[in-house]
Amino acid sequence: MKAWLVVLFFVVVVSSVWADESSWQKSYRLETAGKYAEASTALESTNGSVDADFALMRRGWLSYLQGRYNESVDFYGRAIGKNPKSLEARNGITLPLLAQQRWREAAFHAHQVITESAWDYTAHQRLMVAEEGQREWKTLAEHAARVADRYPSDATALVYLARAYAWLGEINAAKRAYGRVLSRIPVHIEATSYMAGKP
Amino acid sequence: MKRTYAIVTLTAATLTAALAVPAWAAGEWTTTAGAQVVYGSYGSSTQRDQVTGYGAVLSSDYLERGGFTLGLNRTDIKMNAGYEDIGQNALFASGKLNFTPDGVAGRLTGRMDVHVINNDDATNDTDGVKAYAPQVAYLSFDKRRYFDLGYARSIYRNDLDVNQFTPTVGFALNEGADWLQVRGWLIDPSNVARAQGESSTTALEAKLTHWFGANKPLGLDNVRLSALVGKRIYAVDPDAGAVANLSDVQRGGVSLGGEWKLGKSMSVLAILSRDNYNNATLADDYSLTSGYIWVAGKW
Repeated sequence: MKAWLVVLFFVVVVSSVWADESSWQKSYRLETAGKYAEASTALESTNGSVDADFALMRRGWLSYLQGRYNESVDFYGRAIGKNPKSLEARNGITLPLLAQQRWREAAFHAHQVITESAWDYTAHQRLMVAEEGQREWKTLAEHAARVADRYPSDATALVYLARAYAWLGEINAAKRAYGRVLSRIPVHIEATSYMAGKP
Repeated sequence: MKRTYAIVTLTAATLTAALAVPAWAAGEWTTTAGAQVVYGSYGSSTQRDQVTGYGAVLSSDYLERGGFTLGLNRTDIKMNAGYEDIGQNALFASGKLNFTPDGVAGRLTGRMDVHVINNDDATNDTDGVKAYAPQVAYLSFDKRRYFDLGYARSIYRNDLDVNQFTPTVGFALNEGADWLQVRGWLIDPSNVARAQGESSTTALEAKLTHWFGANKPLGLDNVRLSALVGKRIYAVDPDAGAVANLSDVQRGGVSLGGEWKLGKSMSVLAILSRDNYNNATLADDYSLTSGYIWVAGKW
């Protein structure tokens, strides 16, 4: 009997806590539980709030996690509409666009971020993905080299640099770039494979 | 009936009315403009001597959402003595919209082509031609598989309509270094008397494209080999943006082409072709050997 009373007590307490939690808390809790759709629905009540653009961005992210890319593009697009200055929303929309291989549209938004913030790392990283998708190897090589200069410890830009050189047939340059990747991540699978002659 | 074939060509136009786009801004549109010339010589033809043509095409895409193409082309067929030459103008307009539904691992494209052709054919049989050609296409995200289903309805004067279906598959080979496209041509003219006795024609066309890697022989970016077997008449070609509105029956053909990329924005395409034709009315089998050059810039 006592045990039931204890359980009942906790149920009441937890219910009471949940009843008091904000839409944001509920959304974060549901996301942590992997319930992305419910986490997004929890933010419906924030439409008119001062953080409406943030809510839309977050819903865009939650839709992206569910593989609902068109819905994600729509949410991020609405977030940009509410706050055209938002660099995060523009970086955010590149995620579902890249997933749909809409390279040029993703590059367009990345360029808009870069116009505002010249060396925004996320925007440059997404732009490199778009350039690779479009097989613009010369453009990618030049771009990745510039990013690598600005972020010397970063291996990602060097990987794109190496891939671009490899596609351009510049084997020695590709090996040099992959060698620099291995200086930063000694177990990097792609770089190790290429250096071993198994690209 | 005056026989003729038309190499007509391309180009086209399209509209894309429904591109739901936000404000226009630099970088959102990718535009290609090009010019083309063609010269062909007929072999063993009772009526035909040679064909020349030239034209221009403007094509523009809005990001990956859609785009349009507009083209104008002039074709002149010089006939042998005793037959009247034919001069023809063709307008081509094409619009497309792309879709990426979440449940489909690739891109769907809806496209609509319109052809309007006028010439000085005294019989009016091949003059005033209009063709409407919708198409739905699928391209997988990894760009290794392609499918489209095209339909065309061509409307001619003097009691002739033509229905055409062109199911097409394409797939990548050799890690994407090669692309093979196979297209079926199923064409049904409504009036046998206007189609040299053909109530329907069937043909199969295969096109193989090979891209060179870093080592480019003669500077070539890619080479293209194409072959057609079977028969086709009054074909509406969605790749070339052309209508074969002059009425002889094509019986096979081959072509070989190469493309050069000049810098980041210019390209040159050259194609040599040999096609065989038959005029059933005159029991005339003949060939056409032609050369085609296309120069384009992209920005």
